[in-house]
Amino acid sequence: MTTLQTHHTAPLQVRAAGVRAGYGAETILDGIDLTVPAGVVSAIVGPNGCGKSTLLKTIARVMRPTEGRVLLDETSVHHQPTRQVAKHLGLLPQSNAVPEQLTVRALVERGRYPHRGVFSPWSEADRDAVAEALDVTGTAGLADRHVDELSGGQRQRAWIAMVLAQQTPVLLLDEPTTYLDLAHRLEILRLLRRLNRERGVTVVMVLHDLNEACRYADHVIAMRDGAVHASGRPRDVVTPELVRDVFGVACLTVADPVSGTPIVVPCDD
Amino acid sequence: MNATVAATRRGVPLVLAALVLGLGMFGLVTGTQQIPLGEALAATIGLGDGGTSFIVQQLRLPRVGVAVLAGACLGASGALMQGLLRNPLASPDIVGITGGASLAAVLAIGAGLPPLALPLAAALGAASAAGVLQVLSRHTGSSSVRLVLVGVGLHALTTAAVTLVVARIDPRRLGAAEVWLAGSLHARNATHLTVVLVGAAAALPLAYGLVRSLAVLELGDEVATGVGVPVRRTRTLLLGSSALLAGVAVAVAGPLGFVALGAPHIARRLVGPTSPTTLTTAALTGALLVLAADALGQRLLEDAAVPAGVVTAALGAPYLLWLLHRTGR
Repeated sequence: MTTLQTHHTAPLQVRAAGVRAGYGAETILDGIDLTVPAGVVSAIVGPNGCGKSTLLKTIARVMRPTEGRVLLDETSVHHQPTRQVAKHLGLLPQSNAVPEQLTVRALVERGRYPHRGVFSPWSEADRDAVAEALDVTGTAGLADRHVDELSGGQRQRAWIAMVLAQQTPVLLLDEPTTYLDLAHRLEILRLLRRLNRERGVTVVMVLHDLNEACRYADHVIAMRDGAVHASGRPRDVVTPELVRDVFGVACLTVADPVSGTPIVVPCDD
Repeated sequence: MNATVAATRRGVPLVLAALVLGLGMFGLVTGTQQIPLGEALAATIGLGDGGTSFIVQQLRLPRVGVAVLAGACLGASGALMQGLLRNPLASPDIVGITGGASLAAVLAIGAGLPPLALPLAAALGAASAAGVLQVLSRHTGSSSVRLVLVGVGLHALTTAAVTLVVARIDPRRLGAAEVWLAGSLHARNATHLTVVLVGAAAALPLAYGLVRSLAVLELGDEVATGVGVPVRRTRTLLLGSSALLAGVAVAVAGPLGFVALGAPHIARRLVGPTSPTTLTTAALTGALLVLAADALGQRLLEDAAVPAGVVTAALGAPYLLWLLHRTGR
C-alpha cells in the first residue's frame, strides 16, 4: 500500500431536514433533523429496527423521503440528476450481487460510471482512479481474481475499492464490517479512518458494535425508534445513561487504555 | 485482467465476425445451383447475368441477411434480458415476449392477413407482451423475481393461446402457421430484409447505449443507485430494448428457439461479464448460430429442408446441457 496524496476536495455537508421515510404505510424515520459534520468519520448506531439503515439509504437516495429533504451542500439529493449526486456521494450498500467471472478490476472499473459518458472511451483519469483505488485498499494483487472466489475480507476491500474509484468526497457505508472476523473488521475500519485522515473524505457508516464506533468514529449518531436520540463526540455521547435509554442495557463505561475513548461494559443483573 | 487475456478477448469479436462473413458468403454461393463467389458478390450489387442476379438478390441475399440480423438481434436481446433479470438462464422466450409475438402472428395468419402484415403483427405482439410485463411488475422493489414470475405466467398464457388458435385455425392456413411457428428462413424477401435492417438499426444502438448501465445494474439496484444509474428508468428501457430486438427478429424469422438464451451464455464464456464487447460477441454469436442452423437445415435431409428454428432448438439444448454438466453447475 502506498501513502495517499491528499485530495483537496471542499468538505461537503450532508444534512437531513425533517425527514420522514418508511416502507409503504409503515413509517420508520419519524422526522429526522441531522447535520453530518464534514471531513470526519461518523457512525450511526442503535438497536435493530431503529432505522439506521433506512436513514443511510434515504441519505443515499436509495429511498425517497415521504416528507422533508436530504441536502448535500443545501441542494436536495432527491431533486437533482442521480449521476450528478454520484460524483459527490459514494455508497457501499449491504446488499449486492456479483456476476460470475467478474474480476476485481472489472468491479472497480464499474465505480467510474458517473464520470463517463455513454460512449466515451476509457480515459487516463479513469485508469489512474482505478489503479489508486486498488492500491489504497491493498487489492492490486487481487485485480485479476474473480470476486466470487475471494474471502470475505478481501471481497469487502474490493467493494470499497469500487466506491473509491468513484472519487467522492463523501462515503456512505451500511454495516461495512458485518460478517467479518476481528482482524478483517479492524482492517476495514482502519482503512476508512486512513481515507478520512489522509484525504479528508467524509465517512458515514452504520455500525453494530458500539465499542468499534467509539474507537473509530469521531462523531456518533445514536438512534432509537426512528429518531436521533443523541449525537456528538463518543466520549460525550456514549454514557451509561445513553446505553440504557437506547439499547435498554445496564452498563458501565470505562476508558479505552489505548485511545481513551469509551468502552461499554455490560453489568450483570 | 492481464494483457494476454485482454488481447485474446478483443480478438474474439473479430474472429466471430470473420466466421459470420465466411458462412454468409457460403450461403450466397451454395444451393441448388452453385455460383462462383466472384459472380455471387457481383450479383449482390446487380452485376452479372439476370438469372444469377435474381437468385442472389431475390433469394439468397435476403435469406442470409435476415439470418445474420435476426440472429444478432436475438443474441443482443438475450444479453440485455439476462443482465436485467440477473439470471443467466433468462431470455425473451422465457418471459413471454416471443410468446406474445407468436400469438399475434398466428392470429394474423388465421385472419388471412397478407404476408406483409405478419412482421408488423409479430412486432406488435412482442411490444404488447413487454408492456404487460412492465405494467404488472412495476411495483418491483429491489428484486427482479416479480418480473420473472409475471413473465413465466405470460409465457404459459401465450403458449396456451397459440395452441388454441392453431387448433381452431382454417385448415388451409394451418401449414403457414406451423411453418412460421417453427422459425423458418424459407422464402425471405427484400421486405423482410428491410424490416430487420430498420429494426436492428434502431434497436442495436439503444442496446449499446444501455450496456454500461446494465453492467452496474447487475451489481444490485442499491449499488447502481450509488454510482448514479436512474434504476427504474433504466430497467424500463432495458426491458423495452430487449423486447424490441426480440420482436424484430421474431417478426422476420419466427420464434427461433435457444438463440437468445444460448448466444449471450456463450459470449460470457468467451469474453466475460457484461460489457460492450460481450454485447458485440453475443450478437455475433447469435448471427453465427442462425446462419449455421439455416445452412445445416437446408442440407440435413435429402428430400426436405428443416426450418432453422428446429435446428437451433435441437442443437442448442444439448449444447447447453453439456455445458452445464461440464461446469458442474
